[in-house]
Amino acid sequence: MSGLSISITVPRRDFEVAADLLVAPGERLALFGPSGAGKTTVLDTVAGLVPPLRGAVRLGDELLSRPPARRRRLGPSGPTPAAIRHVSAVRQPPAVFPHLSVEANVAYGRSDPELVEQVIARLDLDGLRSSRPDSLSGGQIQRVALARALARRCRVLLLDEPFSGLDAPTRRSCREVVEARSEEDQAATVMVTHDLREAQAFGHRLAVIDAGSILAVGDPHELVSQPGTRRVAELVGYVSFLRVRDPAGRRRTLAIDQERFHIAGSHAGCPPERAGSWSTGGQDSPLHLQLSGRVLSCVAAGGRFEARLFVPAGATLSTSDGATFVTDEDSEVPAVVASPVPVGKERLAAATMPPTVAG
Amino acid sequence: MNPSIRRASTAVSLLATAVCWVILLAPLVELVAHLSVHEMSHAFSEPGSPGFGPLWRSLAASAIALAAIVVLGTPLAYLLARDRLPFPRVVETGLLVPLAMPPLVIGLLLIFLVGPSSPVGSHLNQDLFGLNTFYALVVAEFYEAAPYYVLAAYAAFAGVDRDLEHEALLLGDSRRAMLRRVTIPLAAPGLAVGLSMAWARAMGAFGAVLIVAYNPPGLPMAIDTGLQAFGLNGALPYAVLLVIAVLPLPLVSLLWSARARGRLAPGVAPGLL
Repeated sequence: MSGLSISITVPRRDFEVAADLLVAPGERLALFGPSGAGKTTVLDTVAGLVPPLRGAVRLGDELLSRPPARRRRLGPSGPTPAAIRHVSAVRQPPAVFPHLSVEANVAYGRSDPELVEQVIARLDLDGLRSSRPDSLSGGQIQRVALARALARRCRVLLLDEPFSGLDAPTRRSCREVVEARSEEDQAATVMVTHDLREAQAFGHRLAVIDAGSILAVGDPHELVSQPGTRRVAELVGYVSFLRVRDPAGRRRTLAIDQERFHIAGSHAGCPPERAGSWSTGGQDSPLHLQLSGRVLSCVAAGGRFEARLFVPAGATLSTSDGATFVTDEDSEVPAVVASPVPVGKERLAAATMPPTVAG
Repeated sequence: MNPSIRRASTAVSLLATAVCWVILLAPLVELVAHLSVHEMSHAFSEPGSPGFGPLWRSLAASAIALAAIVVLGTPLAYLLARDRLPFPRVVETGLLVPLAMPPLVIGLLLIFLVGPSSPVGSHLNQDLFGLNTFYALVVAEFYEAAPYYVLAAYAAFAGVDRDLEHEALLLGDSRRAMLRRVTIPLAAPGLAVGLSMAWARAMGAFGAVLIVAYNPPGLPMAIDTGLQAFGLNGALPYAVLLVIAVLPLPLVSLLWSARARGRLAPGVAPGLL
């Protein structure tokens, strides 16, 4: 295996960051998680800027980063020489050299002259070659940092929020350049982002990290449509969770968001391998809701209204493919309705909920 | 702010600046105005006058002292700025001691360090390196000037963003290349200011010099002996010489570093200015 193997524990002030990840040559892994989850710590450790407490980072048989031989009291030592040779990185915030022109920044260090010309052209920096960083906008500085990382041959490409501060079209073209370079060099690529769409668009695989732990790794589409645990479901954008019973009387958690819903397992926080995953069979299956309750709130959401109902007798939920679930008694159920319903009124809401429903 | 209050505060600021300028620079103008070229040249050729010897001596001793300060002080300042020294606060305090100590006391202490009966001094060739030699002048100037450079260099290195150094290392630089291509260019304006302050301190060192190196005299000693022997007329020519010898480096480096700092300023969106 000549890919990147990350197996590390890194101390932080608030918690330890632990990561076990394998990235094959040419593979793109998106490391997705909320702010402060430890994404950048993982990346800095792979880059050799932060020594791990335990474990190691390997590229094939080569050691890139490991715990210091003895505990140094004399401050961080910077990247290990092994890290220098194969690792290209865009860090956040991007650190471009203020005393050098754009072109000198991109060509800095062990760059490949041919690639320098190529990325300057493709990232639209041609007109800025002789400009100093102090005359550039935030987005331009981001592109300079990106160009600098891509202007050299590498076996590991580390990207920390590489497209932040870029507008949507630029973001897309930059992503294409990164993908092309990653494939050309067959680089094991890790991108850190807190933007799920970006992670899905970029990654061959998606890893979800929260509070220092990798919660799940897998195919981006699968992970988002069938999150194994409630926390993963929360992180990938599900906004409501409903405790229900299936026809056999087992407890499940129904995760619902604007566009998807999913049964995550017998209870929240169940390990992914034990979660009885269940899916509706795609976004085309509407979720039917038959319930009677008191309207707790109702707010406008686009062309529809998001309501919460208090259902003392429980509610029956059924999907178009025939599966039926029953909510607990005295539970609150989110629903999307076509017209506003008055708050406080007892009423029967018979809502057929299309995939865009629910909240 | 009320426009009239703003106008008044601007006027007060301008007035304060003008007063400071006059107080600081008027003596210099007086000094130059009181001397004619004829008097100056006469003063240096007068019998009993040490001539231009003190000028060359001061320039040479200060240049050597400054070279030693830069060679020894730059790594120290860098390690201090990067927290790579054990007990950094102790080291920092140690640097402040010579800065806070009266130069005369430094001179007295130097006698204990390099005097003929001291452990170090007894191993030195006293004719060449003992008290009242050229090298004693170098050592006295070193003690008076070194903290100014080291503390300024410390601040300059501390001001260099560590992320930029990490970036250079990640891009394939060795540590030496990183220092040469990133750290030192970015710290250069601060280093230049420290260097010129140390130069001015070394050239003007008097207190410690008076104790350990009064003869052969450098420029400050020549001013003192001129004053003792011939009064103001004997001292002023050397004072002018000292000012002329000291000022160009600080002025040039201050102007250069102000320009360089402007160039190195991080980009700020126009809307924020």
